[in-house]
Amino acid sequence: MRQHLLRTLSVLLLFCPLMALGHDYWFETAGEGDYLLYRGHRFSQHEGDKVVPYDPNIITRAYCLRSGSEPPQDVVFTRTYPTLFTGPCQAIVVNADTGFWSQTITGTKNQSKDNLSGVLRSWHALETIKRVELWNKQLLEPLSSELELVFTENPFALVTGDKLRLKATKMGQPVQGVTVAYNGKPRGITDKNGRINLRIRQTGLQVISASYERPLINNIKADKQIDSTLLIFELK
Amino acid sequence: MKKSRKLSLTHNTWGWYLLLSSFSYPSLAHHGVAGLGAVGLEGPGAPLESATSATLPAGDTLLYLKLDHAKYDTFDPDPANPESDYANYWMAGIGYGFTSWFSGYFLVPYHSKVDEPGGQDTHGFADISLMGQIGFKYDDGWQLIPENESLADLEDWHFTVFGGFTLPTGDADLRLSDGSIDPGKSTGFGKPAWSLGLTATKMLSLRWTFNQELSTIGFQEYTYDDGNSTKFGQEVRANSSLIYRAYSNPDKRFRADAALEAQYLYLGRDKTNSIEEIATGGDMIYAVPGVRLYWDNISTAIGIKVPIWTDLNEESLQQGGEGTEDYRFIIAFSALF
Repeated sequence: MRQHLLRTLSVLLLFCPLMALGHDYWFETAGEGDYLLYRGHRFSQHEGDKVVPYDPNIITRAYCLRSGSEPPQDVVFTRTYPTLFTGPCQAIVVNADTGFWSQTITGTKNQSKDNLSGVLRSWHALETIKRVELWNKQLLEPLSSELELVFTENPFALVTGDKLRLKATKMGQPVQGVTVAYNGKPRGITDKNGRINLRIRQTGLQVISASYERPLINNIKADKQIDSTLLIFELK
Repeated sequence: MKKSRKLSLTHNTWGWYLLLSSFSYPSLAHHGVAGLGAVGLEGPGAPLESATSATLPAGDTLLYLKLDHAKYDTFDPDPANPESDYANYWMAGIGYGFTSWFSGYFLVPYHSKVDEPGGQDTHGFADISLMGQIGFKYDDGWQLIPENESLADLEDWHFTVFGGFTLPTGDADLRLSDGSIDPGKSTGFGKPAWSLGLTATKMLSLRWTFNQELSTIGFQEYTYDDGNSTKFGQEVRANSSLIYRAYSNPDKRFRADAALEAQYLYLGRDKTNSIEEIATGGDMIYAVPGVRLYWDNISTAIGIKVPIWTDLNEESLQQGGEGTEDYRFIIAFSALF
């Protein structure tokens, strides 16, 4: 799997799979440091179309950390597919709301449960993609208000075998109980301070995904909300 | 005549590292990270018999049952001189995680000591024991075991100190069929015994785990109903273990480990009426190969314990005690709730 991943990465400059089990999201560079967001099946283990266009309206906000002490700025992006984000950025964060999902006996549909019959379960999916290119002390704080994995130290100083210490936040507050995976494998859940430690297994692309869910009480559209986030950076 | 010695407190029986219940299990979602059911299948392994550096999760209860069947070598073919044939040491226990770093255990043993035909058997509940275990680790500094550890954290060095004591609930003055009292066959020590130990555990790789136990047990002198007094010799253990995660199936939440323990045991000489007994005590090393199986929240350990080196005091006179076994068969079940 790791070799497969590395082979894939040799082709894709910026490969950012979101942890959605149905589809992956990833960035590719465009122009002089701009980013294009794609969706499809590039990373997940199940089969599917290589590229699956998405509704660009799922993108709710994007932030770019450019340099120095300048705070993260909203990024201008297109309402086209694939969505283009203006770079370059030391770190870029994209928030997406992929809407309501319902699992029925005939499959999973991107619709709320009140529009379907025979719904087994349903959820509202909020997703965050974070790509970090260079270290900046501002990365010790979340760049967005959605679920995000935040560094507690400079990750680019780490080597294989070191611990990567992260904090999960939402609305700037630590989140407990977030399931965190490294290269697709669950490694643990965040503690009451939102903290979790992972271990660097290899150099190259680091893909950390995380999610948690909470029930939506008396909500006619979904049973629960699932917040997912992806953190990706590269170690030389 | 060969001397039989009391068998040690099987004190090191709470070693347990079933992690399956240490984590929550968020449901698999179309969006989101897959559930954590597999996490427990990748954590450190546990030895078969030695104490390990695992504390129980806070608020969790452990139920435990173990059988240690000891079959002894016999030397005298004369049926008029029956020797110790075998012994079954049962241990039932319950543990509770008071905090993530402190666990308490209550253990109830039941012993059967059986001679060859014509001998004098004894059976009964032995001294119950109470144990406490404090876990700590090193991760950028020393700390007590935190409530929440990821798999990366579980790869750190983990340590525990443990200690406990027995209560004289067994029958130290158990009379044999001929009316005599043999302290080695009694089901109690008469007075509390104490134990103290240290463990260290480290995942050497994603599949290999190393475990070390250093421990000791001390006894008090007890005067039996027949007027004789006995003080059993102190026990010192140094148990090293290697565990290999051989197979795991996340879908079925099943894991199989192979384990090999090398157990060093020093037994001091017993004293009767303050005089050192001959043919008691000595040094020995056991090899304990076996397997540990995990399924859901249940763990089963199965092993064979064989003395591979002995240096017993007056060895030719010893029979029916530690170091003189043909083999010991060990099977233990534990479940975490």
